[in-house]
Formats: sequence, structure tokens, C-alpha cells
Amino acid sequence: MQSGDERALGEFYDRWFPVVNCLVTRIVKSPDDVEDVVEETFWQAWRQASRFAADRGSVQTWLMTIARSRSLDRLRAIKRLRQDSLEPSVVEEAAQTSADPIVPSPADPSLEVEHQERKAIVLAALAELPPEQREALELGYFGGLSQSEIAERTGQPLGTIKTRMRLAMLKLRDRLSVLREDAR
Amino acid sequence: MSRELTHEEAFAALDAAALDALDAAERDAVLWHAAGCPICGPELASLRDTAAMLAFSSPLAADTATRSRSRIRSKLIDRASQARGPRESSLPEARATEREVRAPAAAGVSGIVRDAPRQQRGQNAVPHVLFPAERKEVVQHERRFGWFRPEWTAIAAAIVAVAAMAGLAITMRDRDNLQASLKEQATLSAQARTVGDSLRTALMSRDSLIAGLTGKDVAMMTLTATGSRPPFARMFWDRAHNTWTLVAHNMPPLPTGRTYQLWLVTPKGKISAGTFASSSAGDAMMRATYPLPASDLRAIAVTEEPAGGMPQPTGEMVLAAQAR
Repeated sequence: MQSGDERALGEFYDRWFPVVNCLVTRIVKSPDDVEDVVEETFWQAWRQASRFAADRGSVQTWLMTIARSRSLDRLRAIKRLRQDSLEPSVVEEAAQTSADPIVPSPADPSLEVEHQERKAIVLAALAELPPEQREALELGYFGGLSQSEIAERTGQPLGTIKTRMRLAMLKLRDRLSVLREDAR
Repeated sequence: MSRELTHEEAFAALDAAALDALDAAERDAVLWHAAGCPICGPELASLRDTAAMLAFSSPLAADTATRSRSRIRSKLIDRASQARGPRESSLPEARATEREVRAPAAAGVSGIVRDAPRQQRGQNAVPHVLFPAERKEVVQHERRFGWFRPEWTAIAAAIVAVAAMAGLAITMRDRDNLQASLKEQATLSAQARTVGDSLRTALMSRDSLIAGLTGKDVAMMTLTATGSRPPFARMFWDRAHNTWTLVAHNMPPLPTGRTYQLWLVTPKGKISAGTFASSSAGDAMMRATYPLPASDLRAIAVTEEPAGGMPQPTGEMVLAAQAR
């Protein structure tokens, strides 16, 4: 990718499309917007590949940061449009867990297996969290809300939200340590 | 500018920074601290790795992924190929031909289309558009030679309609490309601003650190201890700005639930300047801001305390130095 090889872009896309598409879909929801945001995510990664430094973080973290950022940008743009037409906010919707079946359908079956394994581990770790900690985490990550906004939305003191988020992240890091090396 | 955070304050907010769930001012202050802190920098990276894994918890409908997957892939590869334009020999020629057709359509001028004689088999078969003045000449020419008939007018009109449609389609495509390009430029511009902000923040942090070590009012004290491989530290006290920078080495590993705490010893009592932890290599750095008259400092000490720190020292003294 860093040398501008388009075949590398294709391989990179095949490797990461499932999880990027999952994340963008979770935040943005509208299929047309999802497709745009997924494309823009990989395009940004392609254009900025030369800036990626492996010693500063994993490819997964770098790419998910781009995907989340692009998704929240789009979500906020949609929200502004909806506010103009007095439709309900979509921020809350983004933080809600969908009950849709999970089929990432990557081209390579081994990637599908890997994706499902990671997903199972992450979901199991999340399931161990108390609901209020999980809520704080998801409103922050998928909903793009700050701790102050989460406190306002949930009616909890800011200190409580900070504690919940902190405990949730530390537990998650402990449970997901097995995946961290794989992501590099 | 954001208020400078103590190590303890910044450390406590790293999880929220990793989730990008801080308000702007607090986020800037935390990132500023983490950029220059050997403890918080790696901790933030680790928490960001954890946050990124949340992406795997997202569900996805099968049909959406299947339909869009190959379409996005094709578009990306096309964009990447086009971005390397100079290497594609056919591209400039194709663009030149498009402009030839697009110009009259965009200007709202109707024209007659006929096959351009210069077209060769295998090249882009783009019709040649005649402007009204040329059209008049064609009609006069056709009348002079006696082969002008009503059916030719109908055919010509049909061709004109097709050409107009083609021109419109190309114009719309061109507009979409321009919009995409504008959007991309706006994104790149926003990213450049973000990178610039981060660099400015990191630079300010470094400047502040250097000033705290090299300023003309900075006093340096060496903290020592005894033992076979004793820890040692240097404290840089910038009296002009009330900043304290402690750099320690060979710090013994802390048991779980314990932390190091820095104390400023004054005639009125011992003042906590904050808590800190060391890296796995035994290195640590902490910065604090605390105003203290120069004559009030008697000594500096580091003790081992329960996590979170204590109001007064209770644990073993790890390092100490007398004020000069």
C-alpha cells in the first residue's frame, strides 16, 4: 500500500472490509451512506498509507479510527439535516445494538473464520460488563458522545460516567489482550 | 490554551481519550500530556487498541455486505488507477474527446452529430458535434448537391437528441466527480488541520518540558537512595512558573495496588505533589504545577503508597533529597 500498489489496496480491502463495513453500518445505518463512508475510509487509508507508522499503533486501530471518524462525520451531517426537518436524532439509534444476523461474507473463508472468532471474543468480553458500563462505552464509541453528553443523556453524574467508562475499558483490555498482538 | 493536567489527572482520563469521549479542551490537555509522558503515551496506545476492537461487536445484514462489497472494491481500484493518471496513456485522449462533446451541451447549444472521419477502429468512438454555423454550411452544401430530404432532417434531429443526452450524461458525471473531489479536498483539509493541531500540541508540550528543565530560574536536585542498584532521580523546579519535573530511573517495580507519591517537605508540613508509576524498565517522569516560595522547600521525597495516594506519607521512602 505504501508504495502505491493497487493490488495491495485490493488485498487490504479484502482483508478489512468485513469489520470496517460492520463498524460503519453500526454507526451510520443508511445503506447508501454506509457504502460512501466505507469507500471513503479505504480511500483515506490508501492516500495516507505512507503516514502509517507501525511503531505508533496497529493497522487495525489506525483503520478503525479512520472508519469511526468518517462515520461520525456522516452521522452528524445526517443529524443536522434531520434536525432541520424535526426528525428524531439518529445518535441514539447508532448506539443501540441491532439484532440483525451477522454475516460479514468475506471473500476468503479463513478471513471469515478469523472475523467470527474475534467477534465472539469481543462479544463475550462485552457481555461480562454490567449493562450500565456497556452503555457508557457504546454511547461513547458508536454514538460519538462525550462523557458530559452521556451524563446528560443518561441523567447520571459525570463522575459516575467516568468511573463506568474507566472500569469498562480496563476490563475489556484485560479480556481482549489475546487479540492485541494479532491486530499488529 | 488548555490547563496543564497533572500526570494523575491525565492518566485517569486516558480511557475516555481512547474512546474519543472527552470534551475538546480536556482532550487537548490529555493528548498534550500523553505526547510527552513515557507512561501515558504507551497507555493511551494500548487503550486505543482496545477501543478499536469494539468494531468487531457490530452486527451486519448479509445482503448489504454482499451487494456493496464488490461495488466498492471496483470503485476504489478505479479511483486508485485514475489517481495515477500520467501512467495511463489512453486517459488524456479520452478526456480531450469528452471535452469536445461536453462543451456545446453544457452551453445549451444544439448541434449536429456525425461520425468524425479521424476516428479509427479501436479508438474511443466519440461523435463529432457541429455548431450552428457549421450546420448551415452543411445544409447549403446538401441542397446544392440535391440530396436534402425530410427524412434526413428527422435522422439529424434524432442524432442531435442522442448527442445532447450523451453530453448531459457526461456533464452530470463531471459534476459528480467535481463534487467528490471537493469533498475529498475538504476531508484532506480537515485532516491537515487535525495533524497540525496535534503537532502544535506536541510541540508546546516539548517546549514546556524543555523550559522546565533549562529555564534560568530552574533549580535541580538529585534524589538518591541506598542499595545495590538504587533508584535515582532528578527534580527540576522552575520557580518562575511553579512547575516541577521529576525524572527517575531504576525505580523498583510496584506491587499491585501501590503507587509512588512525590512529597514537597516544607516547614508547615509535607505537601503531596502527585502520584506516578514507572515503566517496566524502571523509568518514570512526572510533571506537576505547585506554587511554593523558594525559601519554603526543605526537602523532596518519594514514597510508596496505596494506589490513589495518601494525604500524608505512610509508606517506605524510596528517594529523597535535601533542598539547597
